[in-house]
Amino acid sequence: MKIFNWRFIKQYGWLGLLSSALLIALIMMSQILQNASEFAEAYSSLLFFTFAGASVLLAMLIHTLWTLKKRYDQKTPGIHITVKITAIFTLLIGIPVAIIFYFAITFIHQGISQWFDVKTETALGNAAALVRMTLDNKTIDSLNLTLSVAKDNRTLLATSPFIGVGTLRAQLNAQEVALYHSNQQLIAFNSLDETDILPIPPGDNLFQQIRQKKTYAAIETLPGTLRDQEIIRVIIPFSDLELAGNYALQVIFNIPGSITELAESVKVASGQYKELSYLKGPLTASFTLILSMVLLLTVVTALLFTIQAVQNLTRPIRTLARGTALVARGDYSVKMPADRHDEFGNLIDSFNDMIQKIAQARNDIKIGHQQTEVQKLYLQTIIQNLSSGVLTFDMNKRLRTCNDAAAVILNTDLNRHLGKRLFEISEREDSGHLHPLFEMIEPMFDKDAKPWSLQHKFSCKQGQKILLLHGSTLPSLDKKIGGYVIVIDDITQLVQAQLNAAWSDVARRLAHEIKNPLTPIQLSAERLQYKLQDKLTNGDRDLLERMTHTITEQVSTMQTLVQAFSDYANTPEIQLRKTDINRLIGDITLMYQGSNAKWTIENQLDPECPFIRADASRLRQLFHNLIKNAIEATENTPSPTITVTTDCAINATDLEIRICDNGPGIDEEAQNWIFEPYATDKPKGTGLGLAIVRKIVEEHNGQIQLHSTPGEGTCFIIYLPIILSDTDT
Amino acid sequence: MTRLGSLHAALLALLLGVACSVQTVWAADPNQPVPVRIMQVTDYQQEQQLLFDSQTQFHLPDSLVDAIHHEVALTFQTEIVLTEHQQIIGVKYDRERAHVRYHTLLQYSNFNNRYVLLNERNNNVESFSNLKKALSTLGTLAAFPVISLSELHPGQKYTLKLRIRLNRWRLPAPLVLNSLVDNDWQLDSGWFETTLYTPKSWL
Repeated sequence: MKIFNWRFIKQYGWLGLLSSALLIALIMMSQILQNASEFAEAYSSLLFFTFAGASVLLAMLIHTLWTLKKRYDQKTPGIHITVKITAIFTLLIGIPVAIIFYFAITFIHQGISQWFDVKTETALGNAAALVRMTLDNKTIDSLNLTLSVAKDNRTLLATSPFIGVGTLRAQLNAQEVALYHSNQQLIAFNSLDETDILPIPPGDNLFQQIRQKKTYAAIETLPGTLRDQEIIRVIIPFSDLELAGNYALQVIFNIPGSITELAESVKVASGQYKELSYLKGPLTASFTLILSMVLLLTVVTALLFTIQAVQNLTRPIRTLARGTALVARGDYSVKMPADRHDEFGNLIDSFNDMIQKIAQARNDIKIGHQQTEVQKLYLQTIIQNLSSGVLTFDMNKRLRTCNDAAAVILNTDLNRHLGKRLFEISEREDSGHLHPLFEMIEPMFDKDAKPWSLQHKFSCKQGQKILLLHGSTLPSLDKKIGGYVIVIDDITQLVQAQLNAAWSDVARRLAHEIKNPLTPIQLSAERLQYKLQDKLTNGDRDLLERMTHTITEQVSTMQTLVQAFSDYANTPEIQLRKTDINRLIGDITLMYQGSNAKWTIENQLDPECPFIRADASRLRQLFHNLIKNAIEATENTPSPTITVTTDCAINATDLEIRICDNGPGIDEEAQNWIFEPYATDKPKGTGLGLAIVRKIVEEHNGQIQLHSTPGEGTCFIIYLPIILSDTDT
Repeated sequence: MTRLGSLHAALLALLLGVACSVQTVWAADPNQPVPVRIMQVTDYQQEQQLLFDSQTQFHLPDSLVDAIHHEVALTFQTEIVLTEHQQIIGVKYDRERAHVRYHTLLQYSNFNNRYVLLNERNNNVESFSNLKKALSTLGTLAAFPVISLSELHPGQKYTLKLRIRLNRWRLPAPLVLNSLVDNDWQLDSGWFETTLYTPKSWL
């Protein structure tokens, strides 16, 4: 409450005080102008004070308006309403005040003009002239009477001046009569007032006038009296034969007080009217000035009060705007001061409550969001580290997320295609191989929301993979389908392992079931030939020989076949050792080079290739198989050429080995099964060569790819990991 | 005129300075006679008193004569300053030894057709039949005592300054504002300064 009072005094007190003081000063000036002469000395002070106060008020107004302008430019909240109300109030106050001012000025001008009309001035002038004429006549009468009475009493005055002046005073009914010698010596004196012992002396100039035989009669103010008392002084020259020399007879007549007072009132009134008539113009100007100052004071004070009041009224709006700005910047700790007990105070209280609740809710949301984020990160981490590829799509089949495993499995960087539709992804150059996959899974999205699974043979640069796909829909808030998720597992190795295990089992059974009877068959055939060749005729003997030869040859072939099965099934554990791959390749290719050879075998070995850890005997088998395969493939080629290349610069972890030929190539259909066991298009082939090759590569954790174009040749590309220990290097 | 009045005069003059100065410059006509001019100041000694005579010439503008004839009382302020000039260790130093300031009221009575002078210093009243005589008397200072010679040093240099001006702040209130902006009412002789050269003769 104390703060409110202080603020109220600070905002309105000084202005009210100054306005009141100015108003009082203007009232006093007005009173002074209306002939309040007791304050006339203060007029200049009041004038100065008024000017200074008005200047201060104007300065305050200019400062306030300037402040308003700055706030208007800065778009301070509440400024528009302040300006509007101020403008309206200015009009509401200004127009009536201007009208009143106009009429007041008109009345002042007309009123002052009417005060000083000609009739009054003439009447006062005539009255003054009448009074003056009356007094002049009385003076002349007094002089004539004195001359007459003095003449009648000349002898008495000459012989007995003391008696003569007394008689003369009585006859003239004068206040005093005195007889002077021309040298200013008093001869005789008589006064109505017996206490007077000396007459009222005439001046030197009057004696000089007497000496020149001139009379004197005039109204004079009696000096030394409490109030101005006027007398008629008459001095006439007096001479007689009895008296030697010149004398002056002075007679003082009293003017009745009533006449004096009346004359004085007329004199004063006439003088004041004369003065006021002259001051008509300045008086009008002064009243106009005072009225203008009152107008200025009223308007400026009203404006200042209005602006201050409106600003006080809009202060809660500014407070709320400041609060909302802080909230908009994210500061929910703001608490606006509510020092009012009206509707605005309630509004600010409500605002504070609202902000507090919003802050609480925001904090809860923040905590929930953080928990969600943690959960999300947790899931993302899990998904990222899954060996299975995970792809999520939105309702429009746009790719939303994918993990690293998906990119590895699908052999493309899917992160670059986030937000794209399936067909858009497959149209990309780097993801064209995904087209068959997407073509297969896209219809699955259009089915019902049940989870689905399928297996797909996926071809890419890394080779052919067998993928197991699981699809499911993602839930949404409206319990509809919010998207899709596909989990991709690369089961190539698993299937291959299962196949390998199956084929190994088959091979073992064949080896066991076929290999054992072969030897007795071969021995029996040889024994039959040995026992019967001498007992048969030539024709039969030749037949027998051919038959037994065929049996033994086929048995031998079957033994070779069984041995191959056995080798495939009973793969020994690989023995990894430090191996110079270039040298190994050089040794092997050297075996196939010779002057009689129909083919040309070339080496293009990268001298920068390091030693690798590999099983040299197994790799030797791998290269033999591939080179034999190439030689067989180029049997009908005019200039068969086989090229073995190593390249260690493709990356830091893998070694690339290429075995290429310029044979007829492998058609696309055969490329799909060429690494399968017992898959061969050769009449005498076992169908295990390339299967063994792939097995050896996989045993070394490598990869093998086939690049073949019919009519242009075939390339087997093997990637072996460069796994070396420190000691190896 | 009090010191407060002088202060107010200065401040008001400051407030209205621009308007006044413009009008003053505009009204400065070299052909017009100077309204108030101190013609001469003569100092002498008598009975161990420093006395002086002076003569001031008045040429009142018509507007002022009109005001007088409308019984507007004019108050003239006469100011006399005696300054002693000293030099202490080469530093000049002025010391005011006497300062006399008094007012004389000039008023006309239509009733009596007389011009009245009232000296507020000694309350002497004198009436005149015409304005010229009244102004002549107003402008005449005869045997005006300034200071006792015993208070002066014959070896020092003294300056006597005299100034006569109309005190506008003692005009009727409505005329005050007008007198501030009207050049006719700027009646001021300015300081007339004379050096007293015969100090030793005073002893």
